[in-house]
Amino acid sequence: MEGWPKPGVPVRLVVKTWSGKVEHSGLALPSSGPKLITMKLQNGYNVSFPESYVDSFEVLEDVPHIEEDASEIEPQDETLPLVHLIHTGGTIASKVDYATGAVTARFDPHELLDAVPELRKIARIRAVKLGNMWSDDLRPRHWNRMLKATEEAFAEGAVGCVITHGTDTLHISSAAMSYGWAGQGGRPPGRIVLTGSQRSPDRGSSDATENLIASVHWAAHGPAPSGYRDSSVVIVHASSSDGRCAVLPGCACRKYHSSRRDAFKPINQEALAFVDIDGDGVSIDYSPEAHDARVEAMAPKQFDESVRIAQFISDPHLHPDQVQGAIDAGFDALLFHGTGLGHLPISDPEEDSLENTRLRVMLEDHISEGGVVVMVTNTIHGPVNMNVYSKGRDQKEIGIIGHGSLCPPGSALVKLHHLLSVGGKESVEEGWEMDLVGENPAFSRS
Amino acid sequence: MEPIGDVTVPEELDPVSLGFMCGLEIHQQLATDKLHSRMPSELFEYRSDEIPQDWPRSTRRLRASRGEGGDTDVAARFEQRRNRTFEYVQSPNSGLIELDESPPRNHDSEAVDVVLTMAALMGAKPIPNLQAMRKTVVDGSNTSGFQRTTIVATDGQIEADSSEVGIDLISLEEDSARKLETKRSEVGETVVYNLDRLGIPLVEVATAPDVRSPEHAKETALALGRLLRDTRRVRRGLGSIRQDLNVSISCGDRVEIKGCQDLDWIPRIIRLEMARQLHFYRLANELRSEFSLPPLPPDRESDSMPVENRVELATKKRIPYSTHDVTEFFSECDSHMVSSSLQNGYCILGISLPGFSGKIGRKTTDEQGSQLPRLGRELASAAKLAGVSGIFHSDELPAYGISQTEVNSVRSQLSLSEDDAFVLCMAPKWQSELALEAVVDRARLAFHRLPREVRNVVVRNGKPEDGTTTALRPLPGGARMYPETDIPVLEISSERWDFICKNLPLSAQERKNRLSGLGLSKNQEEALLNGEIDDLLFEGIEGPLKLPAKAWASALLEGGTSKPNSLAASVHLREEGLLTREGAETLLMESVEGPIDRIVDFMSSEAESRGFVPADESSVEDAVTEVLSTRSDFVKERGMGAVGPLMGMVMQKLGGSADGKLVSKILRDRISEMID
Repeated sequence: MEGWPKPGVPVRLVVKTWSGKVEHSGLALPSSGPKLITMKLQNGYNVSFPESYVDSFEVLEDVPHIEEDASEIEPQDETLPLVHLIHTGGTIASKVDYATGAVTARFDPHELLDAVPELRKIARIRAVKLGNMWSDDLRPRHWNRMLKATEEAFAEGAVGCVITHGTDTLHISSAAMSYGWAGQGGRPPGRIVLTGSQRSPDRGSSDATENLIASVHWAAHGPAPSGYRDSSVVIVHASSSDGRCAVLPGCACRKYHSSRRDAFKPINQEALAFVDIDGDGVSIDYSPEAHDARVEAMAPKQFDESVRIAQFISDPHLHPDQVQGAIDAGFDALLFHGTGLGHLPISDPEEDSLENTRLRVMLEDHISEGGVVVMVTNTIHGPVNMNVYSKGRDQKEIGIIGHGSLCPPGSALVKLHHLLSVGGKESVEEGWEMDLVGENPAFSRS
Repeated sequence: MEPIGDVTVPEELDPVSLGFMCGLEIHQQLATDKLHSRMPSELFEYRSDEIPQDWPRSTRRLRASRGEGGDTDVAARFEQRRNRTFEYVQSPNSGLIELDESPPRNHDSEAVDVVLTMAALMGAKPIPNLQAMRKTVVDGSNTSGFQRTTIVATDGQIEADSSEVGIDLISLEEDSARKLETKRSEVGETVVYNLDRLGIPLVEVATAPDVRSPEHAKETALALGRLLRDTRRVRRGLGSIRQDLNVSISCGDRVEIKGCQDLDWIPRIIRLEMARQLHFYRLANELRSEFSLPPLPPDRESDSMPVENRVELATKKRIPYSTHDVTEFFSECDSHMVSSSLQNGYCILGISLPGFSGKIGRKTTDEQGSQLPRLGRELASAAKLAGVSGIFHSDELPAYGISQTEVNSVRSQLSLSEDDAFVLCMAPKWQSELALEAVVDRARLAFHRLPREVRNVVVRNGKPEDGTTTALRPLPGGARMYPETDIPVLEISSERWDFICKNLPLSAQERKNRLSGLGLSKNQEEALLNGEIDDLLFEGIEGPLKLPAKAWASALLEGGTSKPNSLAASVHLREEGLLTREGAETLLMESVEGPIDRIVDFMSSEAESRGFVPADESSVEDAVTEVLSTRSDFVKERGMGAVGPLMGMVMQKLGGSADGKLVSKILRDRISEMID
């Protein structure tokens, strides 16, 4: 609105609404919506009015803005291990502007250390900004940038990395770190942690602080990675309560709730460890498993950014046209999230569902022409097993890959991409049965 | 002009000449679902040890956001040190939203309507776009660390005791969780909260400082309470309404007093606060004159920043913060409190307050038994911010088992002159240090205008102890609020506002007047109003059944309001002579609530098929004749006393379908004829 002062300037506003004329005084704020003017009243409330309601306003004398003293930057303890904090975005690294409510990124290490002073006693922090993205906007190219950033961190002497990340696809990026570093049999030179938060840090109740403390503690002082299950880990709240964070295998966990603090759960296996945070400090609750450490990888295997995978959910609305569309568009692989043990609607026992037969024929043709078709289960938990029902045996016969795997669906997407980056169909067929990074253990206890 | 008045007789202080200013803040729970979760607003009256085993619990910590108030104040540093955790008990009416595990839903639309109705009743102007805000709260009473609050209207007024009081603000907020207990252990403190109350809608009404006197404050509170209740959509009962007072006099400053639930106490609480403000104004000038500092003007509007800054510098120099460990002098102390504390490994720290001897004061009371203001109480309140239970000071010692010898040892250790005072604190060292730092800060403030702060009425056994208050925390300088980004802005349309304004509830007086023409007894009228069932009464009278007022009123008061349509149908059929009394009871019990015409149809067809239609008068006459003809001897023998026993025989003859009233009347008439 013309003449409306810039944010922070005192203003007196007269509005005429359907209830009459009212006068308000306060500070101008950025507009909270289209065609709205917004101000903060003296009592702290923000109010917005449609511009058409404005009767008049008067800009009051601008109070000189007192610059806050630039606080002296406290040096970090040089004797502590170096940890790189790799910022990709998301709730965890945000801060709120209390005047406007706008959320902005916080990646300046000093600002972070000010907000979470506990970190000063845990590690020497170096912050790296990769971007400021909602995790649902991430693409495989961003996995590659994260791999690169971890590689650089280790090259610069970091003992561990903490990747701060939006939670929606955090488990997929964590799988990418595992396959990237260990998919070819090696292990990363240091610890890689991915963390996020489900409650924004502006609120006293945020889970961000504990998640960050636990993550940095693990990155700085956790056990050396063996390359099996622990090449990357996800560290977030273990329950709705504060005080304990779970260390989950990065190759086999998943966001399992849209809003709870303990949204992440390990799939088909157990947590690797827990990090406890209480008044006395931070401690790790960990019983080492007997795995020989693999050989340290020289560099991570990057993902081929030209690979494209089409995914389908198997259910009464899986239509053959969808699948044909993907085949025609030349996708490198089809990944089906099958029902139950890993099934598709491809038989027609009542002879009333022609589309089932079409889908079956379509897949037979596609596979016989060299197409890659992989099955995971949309139950999330449990194995894919195509031996139990004749339907499954048929699918195996057709050449659908996936029987016997405990690899969770999210991790499977990344595994498929990794294998396609390494080789073609054969590499997928061969690799799928293997347990590359701990995603497909020999047995499951859960 | 110097303020006049005797602080020891608070009742006689003159509000006008002292420049009295006062406003009220009322928080009233609404009787709707919870504001942002749709859970029922229900309270479960369990003590901490009675909570059912299967109610889940979560443990959380809160981090105070940095900035406001600075990290450096004692309360904030104590908060950091004391390692407080919060345990939330999940009552059946609390879910993921109450647990701060799920985003909130938008405003409960019924609650918004109720508050808009209140706004309309106060002639206030609504904000057309409702924006929920987050108000930072870190005492654990909100799982999120903030309270959601929405400004709904401004600029209203109400009439209180024939004088108008402006309404500055009407807002809609969430009530907090209820504290069940505080568990202390060596590693820290756990505060247990029940989540049942968290999220119940509260309307907050803040008046302008138009209240003219302590008595007027009470009248205003009463008037506001009545007006809110007129909507009939407020919760009633203990704790459903809370009043805060904002009080100042010219020579004092604004203080917010919480916990004035009992309205009768309001005038007394205010007068004691006026006395307190006057006392500390005078004490400041006494101290300033002894320290040869320029005097404090009698009106805070005339305060001069440069002068106050100079005084601040001077007092900082004269009253340094320097603690001394004096534990050794108390090794043989008679006080049980002291010896057991020392056994716990506590130490006793002391500080000197130069020039304060006699200024801290001893406990004295006014004629009504209320403690008179004294610095000692304020110093103790300050120390309590660091979690200690209290302090000892030299104006009251020797006492409490502390001897003159021990006092002398402390005085010589601190190298005190006769004019100097000292304060002792007994706690773990870090805590004593914090507490005494707060004491020194407060003692320095005694040279200035009394601090703007939030105070609490001292409560004992659920009632104000004597109407005095203690300091709780500094008054927040414009509460730290920022937008609740999870809830979209709610637009209030002019149509919605028009509808509200055209459908305002009746006032209590209007309701009374409306009832008075119906010929009901005073008791009935009162019971109908108290039970808030007068609207139901008029619906029946004015509705399609046109029920007679008296019969319908009695039925409502006796039969309850759980099935109003069924009750109305039964009253209607009884009045029409189509249903016996016994039949009405049975059918009312069996009836399922639904549209009224359907229930009337159901009841009349059941009455017919099950013999609940009253026998007509002639068949009753016949039956009575028959019975009397065989029992004339009995009638002669018992006279009118025969009515009772014969009644049963007649009823039996009529097969239960007779109206008992009619049978009794005819029987009586006929027997009295016979006797005559």
